[in-house]
Amino acid sequence: MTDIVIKNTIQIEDADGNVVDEVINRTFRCVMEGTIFQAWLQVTDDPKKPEVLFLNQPWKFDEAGSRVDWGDLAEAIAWFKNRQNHEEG
Amino acid sequence: MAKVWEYQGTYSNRQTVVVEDARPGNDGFYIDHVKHDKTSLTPQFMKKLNYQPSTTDSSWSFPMESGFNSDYGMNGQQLALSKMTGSMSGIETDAANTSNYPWPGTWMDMTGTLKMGTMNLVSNGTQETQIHSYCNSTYQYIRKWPHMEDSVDLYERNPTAGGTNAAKGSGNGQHSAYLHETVGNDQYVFNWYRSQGNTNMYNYPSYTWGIHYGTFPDAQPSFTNQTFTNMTNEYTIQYLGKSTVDGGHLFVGTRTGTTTSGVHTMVMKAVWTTSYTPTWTEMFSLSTVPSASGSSQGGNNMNNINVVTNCSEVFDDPRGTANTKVFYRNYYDSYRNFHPFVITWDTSTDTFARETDITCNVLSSVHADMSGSTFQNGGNYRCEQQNLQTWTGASLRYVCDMKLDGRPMAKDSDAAYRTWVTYSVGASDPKALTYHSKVEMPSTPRSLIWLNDSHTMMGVWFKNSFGIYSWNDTTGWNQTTNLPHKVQNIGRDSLDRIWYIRPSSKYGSTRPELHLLTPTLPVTISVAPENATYTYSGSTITSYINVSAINASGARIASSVKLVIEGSSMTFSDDSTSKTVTTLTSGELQVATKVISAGFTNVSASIEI
Repeated sequence: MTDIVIKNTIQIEDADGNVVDEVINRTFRCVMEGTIFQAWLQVTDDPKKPEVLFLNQPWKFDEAGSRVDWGDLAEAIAWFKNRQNHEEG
Repeated sequence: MAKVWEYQGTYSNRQTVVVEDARPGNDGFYIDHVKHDKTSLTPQFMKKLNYQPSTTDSSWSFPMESGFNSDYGMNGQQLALSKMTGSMSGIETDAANTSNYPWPGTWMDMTGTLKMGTMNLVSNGTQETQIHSYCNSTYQYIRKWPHMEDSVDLYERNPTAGGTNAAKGSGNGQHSAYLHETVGNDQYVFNWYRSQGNTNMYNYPSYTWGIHYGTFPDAQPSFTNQTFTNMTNEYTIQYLGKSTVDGGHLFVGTRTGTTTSGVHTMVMKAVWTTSYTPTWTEMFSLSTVPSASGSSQGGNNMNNINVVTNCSEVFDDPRGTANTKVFYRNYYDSYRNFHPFVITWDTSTDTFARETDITCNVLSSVHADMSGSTFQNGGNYRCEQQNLQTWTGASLRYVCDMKLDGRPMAKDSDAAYRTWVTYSVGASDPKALTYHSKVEMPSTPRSLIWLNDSHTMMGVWFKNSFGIYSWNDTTGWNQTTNLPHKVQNIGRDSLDRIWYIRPSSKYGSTRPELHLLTPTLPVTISVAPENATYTYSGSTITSYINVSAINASGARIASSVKLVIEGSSMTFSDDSTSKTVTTLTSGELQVATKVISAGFTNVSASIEI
């Protein structure tokens, strides 16, 4: 199990009408459940549901578009970060 | 093109003109917020809509922030109709900005079953709620009417669902499509739309979705705005349908970009379990650049041009493969010849595959050579959409690249881009495409909208006009009507009547004017005498005039036409000068006349709606 933080920057309009950057950080608990990669979103505004199964990914895809097994959790996390457009730093 | 309503000066230049009650059991149809009988359009006084969402606030409220001149590309403002309804801005400059985005409603739904209206009836099977989503300043707002007995009219209840004025149907959405999902005791209404949730409204493209939750069909006051997981920037998002495997909802993402990004196709599935946030699974992802096969040269899309495109509707695999559906993913090979990929969907397992060995008997460049075409090729405000559509005729399926550019003059000098090439699909082979026909748009086609359920009649927005085209299995797409003015908003009600808003011919371009354009009403009435001139020498000359009525799709229709002969030199055969006749569907109607003296004659024709 590994907790990761996905960072994304979006542009919003502030109270003065200026477009400004806003950084959004989301925390995920990442696990391999058997051969399935799972990313659980940590929810802060709902104490009844502290985490939500955000992604349930049994496979990755090869270059031909065929489904193949994950190598390990680290590979799956790297893929997940890429798919979520995670910004390092 | 009967004018039904003229600007009445009530709400500045911004207001909703028509609101249809989408419930089949209710006859409400609101023009200028006043109830009319849906069928007869008879006004019913003292029955006026109030968009005030608060039950304790007795003041009146109306949706009135359309941004009539420039912003009405974010639609749902002037027309709240239950069937496909779309809008384009009236901007006349080619700037790459939000006002020049092509309206996306024709490709968002791949199932062909969603109505894509701006007044949505969302049901869980026993109860329903109505949702009107409309632009309000830079954001799209909603009003929801929770479940009501059919005998209760919209004007009798405030649209309490959705909370306060701060409730948003989406962030800057250009068009919202709505679906409902039940999981245990939880019910969710979700919508998806193009554009970002924040204010800059970039279109890379960028699609977003929102989930309304809370007790259904009551308030559902909570709303969360989310991106499509794994398909954020650069993906055109379309709804593929509901899985028969696990009930999840499937969405297709068609990526734009160069090299592998330009051919990338993805399918994501959303399954609701215990939260308003569904669980996602990536079902398909393939971005390998194809090699040559069939008649395709393969290579990067459009010879490595970054241009937005999409997939077609989904349909049963004509090869008869069990449990398999297919759709086309648009693609042009390295010579910029049209060779759309076939994507197969095994609905019993939700597995997907791509086939690229497409054969066209005539290359698209023969008729639309885009080797010299120039493109935006990136940027934050994409106005081009290489739109792909499919439909069926009497016996065959057809596929056409209906290329769009929301900038009103951007492709005026590019005839190849403006030429839409139609292929017929092999009766038992979706990879065998046979050239059928082409149609050249007269100027830059900014966007299109289907005007019937079978997708054989469409409307196309141009800079200062709106063309209506009808499909013919022999001759292809033909323009049957040209509206020589801007059309801001156009759509269909549940009775298949076509309504549109144009700039007022009386009060100027910033005021709305409502028109009705239906298959049963003529858009053209022609009156022609047997001869252009007659030589009168003292004896009565018997003759006739030909009368015909043509509807929007170019067909002759039987219509009641009032004819009035002006002048003293001609009468009808019964000596009258006024007569009401019924035109024929089979040909010209000959109405007998007499020339009784020398002079000039004019015949006027009019109809009643």
